[in-house]
Amino acid sequence: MHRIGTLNTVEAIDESNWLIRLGNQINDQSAERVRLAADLARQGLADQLIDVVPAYSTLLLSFREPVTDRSTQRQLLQALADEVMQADLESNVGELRRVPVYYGEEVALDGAEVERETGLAFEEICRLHQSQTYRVYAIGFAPGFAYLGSTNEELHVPRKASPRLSVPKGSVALADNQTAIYPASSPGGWQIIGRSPVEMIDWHRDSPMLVKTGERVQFYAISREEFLASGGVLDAD
Amino acid sequence: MQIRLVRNTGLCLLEDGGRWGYRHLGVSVSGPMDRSSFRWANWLLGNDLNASVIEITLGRAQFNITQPGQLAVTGADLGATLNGESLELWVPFLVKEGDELVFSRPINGLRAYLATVGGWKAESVLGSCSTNMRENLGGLNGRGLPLVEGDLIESSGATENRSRMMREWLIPDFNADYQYAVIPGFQFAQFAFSEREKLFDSEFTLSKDCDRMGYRLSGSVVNSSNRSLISEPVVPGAIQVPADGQPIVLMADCQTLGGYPKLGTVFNLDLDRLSQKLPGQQVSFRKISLQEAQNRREAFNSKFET
Repeated sequence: MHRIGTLNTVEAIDESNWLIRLGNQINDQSAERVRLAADLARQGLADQLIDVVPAYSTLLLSFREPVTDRSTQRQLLQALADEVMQADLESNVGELRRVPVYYGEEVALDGAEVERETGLAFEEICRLHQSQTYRVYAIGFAPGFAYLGSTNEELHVPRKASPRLSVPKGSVALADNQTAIYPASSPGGWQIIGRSPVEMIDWHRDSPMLVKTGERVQFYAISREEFLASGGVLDAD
Repeated sequence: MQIRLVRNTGLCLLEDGGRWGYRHLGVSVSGPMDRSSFRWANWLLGNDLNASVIEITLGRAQFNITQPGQLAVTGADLGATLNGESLELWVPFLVKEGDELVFSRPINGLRAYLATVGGWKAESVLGSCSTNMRENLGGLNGRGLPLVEGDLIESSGATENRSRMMREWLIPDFNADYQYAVIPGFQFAQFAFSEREKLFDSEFTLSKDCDRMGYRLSGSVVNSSNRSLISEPVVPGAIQVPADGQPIVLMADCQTLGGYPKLGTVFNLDLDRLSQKLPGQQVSFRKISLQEAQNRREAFNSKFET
């Protein structure tokens, strides 16, 4: 079986964790490969795995017990990776989730900074932010924090030079070519342009995460009244 | 069995085997920092090896016994006393109402594990009571809070006495000179040879920035040419090298994804030992193969089979 360059590698991190690399770029193709590899691993190795952690172009498989026959395991995972690399992948298969955002001045904490960085008026920033669908590339950093991308090039902004000690829950933010919704108040360095009333994660729901890796998200603007009516919270003065 | 935390200026956390199966949602595994000592504490009492225990960091804590029962303390020697008398560690002991169990200060190691028969009762969140303060998960009431003065902690109810004794040679000496084993991996090959070997050629000091999420080392600057890594999954033990070249060893409460280049992974049994070191202490590392890691893991697991 042929290998496709060095993009596709299977590596044992220690005696129970394996890392599968399926690309070296942030794009739909890598994301689709990771998604397929995660599905195949969950189907084929379900009872042996304790965690399956997808990222942009890599997948971590954590085994319940230390892997005893490493070379057999490597062959099996390499075959899985090869199958994924050769698969004819459909794009845009993920479910589309529409997420409301209030882009009001009092919650767009970095509106002025993003205007300066992009050279765009805030109305245009909001329009561009809503004008496309984003893929959920990965979930990490904090419980329920979904990395969404890739944003329009005109919206690419650096992280804040000094992170905020507390970003309000629901804040919708930009950093590099990504956008995200802070699922809870936490420190953070992304540039905040609005706030969403949705609960990104709720452990009492059957499906705790609002979105899953591989799904798609599109934002739409709501008014202050709609934001408050949907349970959104403004900062106490 | 019931105890009350009456004095506490250290850090006392309820920990069980960890919150597995949720890392794809960004939830860290958490669990005990020194899993080996944690497992021994449960083994000594005939418990499920993942039953909940109290992790006591630094000492400075006093528990008063409010209902009798059987306990075991493993891990660090924090100068523990029972009613003022020095307490023998790594053996089960009986307590009665009114007894006072005090942990004073780190003498050998940093974290002690206080187990009871059947484990301590706590609300389970996502299948675990392990306390993650950053994620507001676990602990006595499920909201990620450490134990505080006044808390009453009860055993889960099991009372059957199945206590065991362990062989003395299995008890670790955290003060002894030790080289922590590292399995090279992740971006190891992308570091220049002279840079990556610094990890094994020199001593590092644990900086004051050491917590349950990561241990920041200070020492030789390890330069990395790889500055634009796409974030990828990380595991406890992974050794990150940020731009300042000072390695960070990820610990039990670490995040699930990371974007810094990594040199490899501290072998998990040695990560347990590393978590017993204090800021300011010196540590050094040695390279091991996956095969050696696997052999050590199998040998360790087999010790619990009796």
